[in-house]
Amino acid sequence: MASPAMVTLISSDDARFEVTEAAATMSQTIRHMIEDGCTDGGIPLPNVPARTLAKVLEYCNKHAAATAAESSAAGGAAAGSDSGSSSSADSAGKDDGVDLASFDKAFVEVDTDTLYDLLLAANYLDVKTLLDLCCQKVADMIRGKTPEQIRQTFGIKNDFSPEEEEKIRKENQWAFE
Amino acid sequence: MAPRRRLLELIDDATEEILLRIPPEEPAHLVRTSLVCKLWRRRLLDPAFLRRCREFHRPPPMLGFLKNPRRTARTVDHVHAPRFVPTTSATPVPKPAFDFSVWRALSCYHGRVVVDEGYIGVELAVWDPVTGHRQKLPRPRIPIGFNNAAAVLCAVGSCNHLDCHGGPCQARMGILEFDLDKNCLSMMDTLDMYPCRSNLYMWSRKLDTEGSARWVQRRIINFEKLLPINNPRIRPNASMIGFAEVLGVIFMGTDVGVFVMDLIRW
Repeated sequence: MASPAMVTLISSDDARFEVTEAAATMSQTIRHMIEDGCTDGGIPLPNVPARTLAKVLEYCNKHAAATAAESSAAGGAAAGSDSGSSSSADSAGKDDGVDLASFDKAFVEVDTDTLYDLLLAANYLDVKTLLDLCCQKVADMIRGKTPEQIRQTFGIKNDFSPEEEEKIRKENQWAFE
Repeated sequence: MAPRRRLLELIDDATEEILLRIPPEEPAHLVRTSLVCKLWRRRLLDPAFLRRCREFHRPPPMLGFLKNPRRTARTVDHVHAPRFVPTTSATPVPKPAFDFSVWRALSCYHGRVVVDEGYIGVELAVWDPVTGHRQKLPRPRIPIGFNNAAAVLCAVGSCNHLDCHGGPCQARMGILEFDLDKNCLSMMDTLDMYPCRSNLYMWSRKLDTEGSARWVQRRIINFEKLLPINNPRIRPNASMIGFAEVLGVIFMGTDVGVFVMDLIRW
């Protein structure tokens, strides 16, 4: 039985991660590096620390396994066993849309710093579905908060003068009542 | 320990992606978000961003509905009760300047409303509730009786109707069409949805293979099943008082208030 193609990823703090090519190439950035043949001795990812990379790979492993299970179910063949290095408890064949949706929901139930790290990594690595997921989570956190609460939650400095702020509030009084 | 990162440090693209995903159901949330910092405000007011936002969140959220007083209502309270009923917690729709007069909403489409302001006879106007702009229509030369059968439609063929406030539009009256730009009556038209006892019949205009149009029944909905079944106060006097085709919702008037029913999710 052919074992799945593996690639080695190297985090900014020199931790090495061995993952299936299917999981790694969910990242368009890594996909392009592999296509360009830059994989000898591992693929360096100087912008992503080990802690964040592990989390991103948890997401990629889960989604790549779900995609594989879906296509093997369609082809009528049993899916190959998952790589031992994967930390996620995948069981191929069981994944469906509902599973993935609840996995995604739980995946972004993290503190804001971790969420930012994930967002930056998803953007750099170009994992579109993960980037969308993180952006939606941040947007949901913004919803329903006052401007001051939003600034506090995300550590944003208010660069409006009191006069400017007052003017905007007056012009849109309905939204602040 | 590393200092806590700021969202502003995120690259521009991600900021836009985040702001784009703020749920639009409460328009006030977006306005409040625009007061967080100057960068966010610039982003949120950028026409290109707003276009993207409207495309991303389709169909547009419902801001409220217009409720006419009952025909039998003669008391000042009823006649002057607010017609616009917001369905958001804060509403960007100001009280119309003409709310003091006797008027009835005849139809609402593409962000505009046809209102009849006539005490005796018909005096039509097209009103944009968000901008407050109101355009009176010349009296048609043909005498027309109305029964909720006038509609206003955006007249730009290529428009996606996501933000066509202030553009050219047509008012359609039952079987007659009035072109606001050309100032003329023309064409036949008819409604594609009508209630009959407790059933709602939905029809579509379909082109057949020979190119001629005909009506096809799409769905029959028994709306009594949609209402709280065990409440005898609600069922007997329930009737459909309006619909929002784009959102797939109907409005049911009952003795205890108005129900909004989502026919797509139901």
